[in-house]
Parts: sequence; C-alpha cells; structure tokens
Amino acid sequence: MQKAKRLIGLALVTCMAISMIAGCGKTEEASPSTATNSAVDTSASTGTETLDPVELQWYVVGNGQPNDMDKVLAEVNKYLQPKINATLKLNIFTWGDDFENKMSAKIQSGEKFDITFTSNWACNYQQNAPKGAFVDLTPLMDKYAPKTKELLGEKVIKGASINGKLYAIPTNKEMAHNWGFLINKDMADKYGIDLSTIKKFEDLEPALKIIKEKEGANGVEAFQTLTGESAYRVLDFEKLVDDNVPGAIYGDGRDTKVVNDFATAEAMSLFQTLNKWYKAGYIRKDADTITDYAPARKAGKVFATTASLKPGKDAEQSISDGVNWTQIDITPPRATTREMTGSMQAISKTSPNPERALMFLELMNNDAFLCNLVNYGIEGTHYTKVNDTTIEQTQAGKDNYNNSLQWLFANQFNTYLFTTEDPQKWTKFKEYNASSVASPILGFTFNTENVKTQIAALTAVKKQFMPGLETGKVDPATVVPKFTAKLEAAGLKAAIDEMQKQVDEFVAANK
Amino acid sequence: MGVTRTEVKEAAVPLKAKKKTGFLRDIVKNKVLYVMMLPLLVVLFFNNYLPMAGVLIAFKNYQYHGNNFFENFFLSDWVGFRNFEFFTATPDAFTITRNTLGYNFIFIFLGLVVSVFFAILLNEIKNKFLSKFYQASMLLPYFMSWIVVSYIVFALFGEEKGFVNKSLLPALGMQEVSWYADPMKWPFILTFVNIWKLTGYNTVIYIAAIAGIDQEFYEAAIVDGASKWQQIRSITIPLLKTLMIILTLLAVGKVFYSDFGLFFQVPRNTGALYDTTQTIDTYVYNALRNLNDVGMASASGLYQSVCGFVLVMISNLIVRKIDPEQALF
Repeated sequence: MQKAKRLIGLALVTCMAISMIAGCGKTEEASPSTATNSAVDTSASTGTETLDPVELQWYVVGNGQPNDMDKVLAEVNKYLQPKINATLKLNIFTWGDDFENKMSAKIQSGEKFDITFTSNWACNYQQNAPKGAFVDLTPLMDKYAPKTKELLGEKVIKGASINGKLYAIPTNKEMAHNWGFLINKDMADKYGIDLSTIKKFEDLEPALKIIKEKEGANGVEAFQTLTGESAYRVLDFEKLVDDNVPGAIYGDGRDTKVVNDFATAEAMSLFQTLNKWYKAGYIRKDADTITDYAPARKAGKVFATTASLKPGKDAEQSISDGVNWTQIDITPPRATTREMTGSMQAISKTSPNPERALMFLELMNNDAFLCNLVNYGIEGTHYTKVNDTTIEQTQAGKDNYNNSLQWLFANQFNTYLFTTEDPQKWTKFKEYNASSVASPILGFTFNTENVKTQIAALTAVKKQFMPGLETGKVDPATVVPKFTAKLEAAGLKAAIDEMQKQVDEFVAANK
Repeated sequence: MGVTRTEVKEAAVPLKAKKKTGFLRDIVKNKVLYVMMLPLLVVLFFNNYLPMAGVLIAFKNYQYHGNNFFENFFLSDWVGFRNFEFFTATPDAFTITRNTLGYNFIFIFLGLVVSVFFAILLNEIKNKFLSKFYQASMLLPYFMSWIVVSYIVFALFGEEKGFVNKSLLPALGMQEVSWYADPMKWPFILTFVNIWKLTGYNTVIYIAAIAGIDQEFYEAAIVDGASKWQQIRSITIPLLKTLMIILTLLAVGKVFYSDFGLFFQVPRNTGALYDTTQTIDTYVYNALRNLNDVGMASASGLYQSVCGFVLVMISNLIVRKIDPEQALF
C-alpha cells in the first residue's frame, strides 16, 4: 500500500508538472529580455523615466523573415529605447495562408501580441475589428499619436473608421487606386508594339496576337489572368464584402444601388472577351487551376497582366520582379474604403501595452530615420545613399534584407527612393491623391452578422464558377445563367437586400 | 507487505463481496501496468477530454470582447443552432453529402478488398527479398504528402504540359482531354490515387495478422490435400475476419470526414470539378475561409463528430446482432 501511495503521489506530481508546462506556454513573452534591462541605465534621458521597458510584438505579411532581421532589429532597438523605452520584435510571415492562418489562430485564441498588419484583404479588418479583436484608437489618438492624426487627415481617418471608431492606423501612402495593365516592356519593344494606342481593355488584343505568334512557342503567356488574380478587377466594382461575395456598387460612383456584379452586362462582356482570348490561346489553358502569379512573371514568361495601379507602380514592380514593366492606366483614380483600409496597423486587444504600441506607431509615421531603417535596413550594409532622398541597394541588401514593403510600414512618403524610380514619385502621389474622386460610400463597412450564413454559401458558389469565367475557360453564355441561378439558391437576394439596407442607412446618416 | 494482507483478506470473503471490490483488487494486482498506463491517460484527458467543453462554441456567436479565450467564450452570446444553418443554406447540400459518404464507402470497400488481396499475395511470395521489396515500394506513397501527390497528378493530367495529354494520348493517336474541366473523370482519379496511397499501409497491417496465424493450420490443410485457394478461403480469410471488422468499424466512424488533402489538394480546388470533388471538409474550408467565424467552424466539426459517433454505434450494434464475438464493444 505504501508503494501504491507513493506512486499515486508521483503521478499527481507529474500531472501538476504537465499542467504547469502547459500553463507557462502563454506567458513567455511577458518576461523582459536581458537586452531591455541593460538599456534602462543608458536611457536616462528626459521623459523616459516613467516608462517601464516593454517588448512590442509586431506581425506583418510579406516575403517572410529576411536573413538580417536580427541585425536590423538590434539597430532599431538601440534607437527606440532612449525614445520610448521599448524593444521591437518584428515578424514577417509569408503571403497568403501563412499569415492568414497564423493571425486568425492568434486572434481567436487570445494570444498576447501588440501590433498586427490588418487590411481588407489579409487579417480582415472589417471582420476582426467589430468582433472586438483590436483596440479602439479614437480616444487615444490625441494623446499618443497627434502628429499621425494630422498627417493622415480627416478623409482618410473617416474612410478607415467603422461606425465612427478607428481601430487601426492606415499607412500613409497613395489613397486612391486605378486599374490597368502591366506590360513587359522589353517584349513590347522587341516586336515594335505601340502601347500608346491602348486606351481600353479590348485594345490589348492585337498586341496579344503578335506575342502569341512570336513567343507562344517559348512558353510565354500573352495575357495572365488567374483565379483570384484576374482581369475581372479591371471593371472596378466597389465590392461591399470582399472579392468572393457578390454585391457591389458601380465603381464610378454613379449611384448607391447594390447589384450582383457577377451578372452585370459589363461582367458579361468582359467574360466574353476573355473567352475569345482563351480560345485564341492568349491565356494559358490551365489558368483556372493556378493561383500563384509570381513565378511566371518573375521568369519573364508573362507579356501582359492586369494590376491595381498608382504612379510609379511599374518601377516598384520591376524592382520586386526583376522584369522591366511598364504600366497602362485604364480606369480613372478613385478613392474608396478599399485604399483607406488597404494597409493598416492595428493594436491587439490582448496587447499588454497598447499606449506604448501607439507611441511606437506615431514614431514610425513621423520619424523618417526609423521608417527607413525598418524598410531598407542599415545604411552602408544594406544600401548606400546616392543623395538625400535616393538610395541604391547593395548585394547584401538584396539578399538579406529585401522586404519591398514600403506601402506597409507606416509612412511611405518618408521612405527613400531607388535610383530606378522617378524622383518626383511623392509629388506625383500627392497629385494622384488629390485628383481622385471619392466614393459616395467612403467609410462604409458592411456588417456581415445578419447574413453570414448566406455569405458562407455564396462564397462557396463563387469559387465553383468564377475561376472558369475569369480565366476565359468557359463560355459565359451558358455558365453565367447557371452561376446566377445557384447564387440565388444560396441566398443572393437576402444578402443583397441587407447590403442595400446598410448602404441606405449609411448614406442617410452621412448626408 | 500491505498487498499481501489485502489479498489474504479478500480471499477469505464470500464470492459476492469479492466481485464488488473486483476493480480495486485488479488495480492493486496489476499496479505496475496501471502506472505505466497513467501518463497516456493524462495525455488523453488533457488532449481529448478537456477541450471537449469547446464544443459549446458551436452554439455561440464567438467574439473577442474578453482578454483571453475563456473570457471571450463566456462573453459571447448563445445563438442556438444558427451556426449550423450554412450547411443547409447551400444548394449543394445534397451533392456534398453524397460525395463525402459515397467516396468514403468506396474507399472502405476497395481499401479492404485491395489490401487483403495484396497482403495474401505478398505472403505467398516465397522469395523473402522480393516480398520485402514489393512491400516497401507499396508503402512509399503513404509517406508522401498530399501536396506532392497533387503535383504528381498535375504533372500527369495537366492541360498545358501534362504527360498524359502531351505524350501518352498523342502516341495512342487520341485527342487531348481537358482533365481539369470534366468532373466525371475525377471519381476514378481520386479513388485510384487514394487506393494507391493507402494500400501499402493497410497491407502491412494484414500481413502482420497473417504472420500471426498458426502454421499448423496450413500444415494440416496440406496433409488433407487442400489447394492454395482452399487454404486461403478456409483458413486465412476467416482468421482475418476480426481484424477486417475492427478496421472497417473504425473507418465507418469517419465517413462524415473526408481527407482534406485528397479532395482539396489533388483536384487543386478547381471550381469546375466541385460536382464530384467537393466534400464536407472542402466546402467548410471554401465557405468559411474568408469569414473567420469560429462558431460556424466549430459547428461543422461537431456535426461531423456526432454523425460519425452515431454511425459507429449503429454499425457496432449490427455487428453484435450478427456475431456478438466480433463486436468492438
């Protein structure tokens, strides 16, 4: 019996040990790092005595963690500690599911972290903010981020707010968008294609014909349109939920009537054009089974594709792809909620130090040195300065710290330009922003709560039919009616009615 | 010391009372075995039973208003069965259920027949080296990830550069086929791929069972002049029956689940093929991927588990009615 008792005791101890280990997993980030402690002594400058040392966890989307992240963060922290006595831990996850799944797991399980990238296309702002995932920054802005508030201006803050509450700070960048083509300039020059004649979508066809004839045998896609990354977006509908859910108003802002955009005459005509191009062999045959657009583009095997544009988009894209792109604008610039919420940083509800996180974002937005350090790495190591505003990346920079996330980190207007970019880029950005027409429902956010059952079902239907249509693989004359019928069976009317109701309420409230 | 005293005492008490303390007595008697079992029981408790309270999320509109998971959970509103509605809201509800159940029953049946067939064949190969070689090569696909399999299938059937379209069919003088556009071809492709991937593993289990059969049965049969076929039919298969029933019952419990890798990765989530490739798991993924709704996702998991549990109970009941000795419990 004695033996048995001892064994039971041992078992209980094992149990407790296991539960302790399990319990400890969540608190690891609470302990300040040794680096933070040693820095307290050196940071005796004014204003910091009252601040305890903290570590800020920041999650963003990108190409993954660069090799030299630790080196750069060490520099960042040297600069940051005397100012706000914080150390930064920046984590870059890779595009798509990696970032998406990690962030939704962190948010849903209530893990402690401070700042996350959020937007209408990744770590969805419109869905996470109303559920209470982010801190409401509205009351904190005046105290902790007054300069940022002034910098962004009222229009942007309104556009990024949900029901008048700001849950994330938009990146200060271009605040409008337009759609058009990215064209491989080397290929166009080689065959003497005159790009100045291309004014609307259909005008591209003769160029595609030439490329198909000359380069088709080399495996060049004359026109790239893939599932999700497709030419459909050139119609520029202002979607109310996301790309997967039918329901939009016309992008030119003619009215605020909500329509099923997949069944409009404009969509039909685009699908027909694409179907014609597909049959002519301008689009790769398996386009609807491919979602990753980057490899073919980077390999220089794409002649033309559609893209969301802004001044200097072609130069930016050329640097990131290593291909000489030139852009052709098709639609006029429009300012919609989409841009205001296209790239933002939110502070997590679970953050132990939301004020410090906001102070950090204030610094990122207003301190050009810090912003450039995070963007381009260490001067002399990762880049060399050509003049005050222009830099050239070194080989080490290209290999070990090449984030290409200027549009993500805080204030793009403060970042250096590459020698290959237009020195007037920021002036053009400002002109572009000024020339854009604001959407009639700027700042509207659809609340999915009442129709989320329908939205789930509609999303699945869209994924069944849309890939075939947007890549031109199927004949729209037979497929669009089937598509529409199935959307209706999945609750299209209820969803559109709810959208219209909320849009009408928003318009009435903002008159 | 204490143990001996208890045993002596218990030996003295009448039969009825002895039965009452049977469990305790059993523990004391086999305490070493029970202690060895303890760590696993602890893992089972923390890993499988504790999180079960989470099924309640399926009936809540999960929001993030608290500071951690538990606060979030308690602060969220109850919504009854609203989270389950998206199953029935889709016009594809029938297709999805049909695909999930249909594929699973085909896989269970073919998986059983093919695995047992190969197990018996491999067992009959007298050359040990060749037998092991075949066995190992059959097992190889089991260790490939579905992503790899997906690319192998794409390399075979792709329309742009696929082997079948570009090399095989032209050599046979046939037209190219749009594999990723015709849903009717996929039940065959998916079934073949699944059997190809899993047979090796199941075969190993049956080979192990065959190895455990007493050789004397076969010797006696040979003395009686039984042919190879008669030996297989009258000795091997009947003795494998118990294992077949156990494995099948376990598989029946999972018929409402589908292998996400097989149905999502292998057809590359191609919309045109949904009629024959969409199952409950892929529908849930496609429908909820952008919605980030924990409640609805939990609802789908709960629905599958409950259906699977009910099915296992029913099939076990049927087995018990026919042959009580073969039932699982």
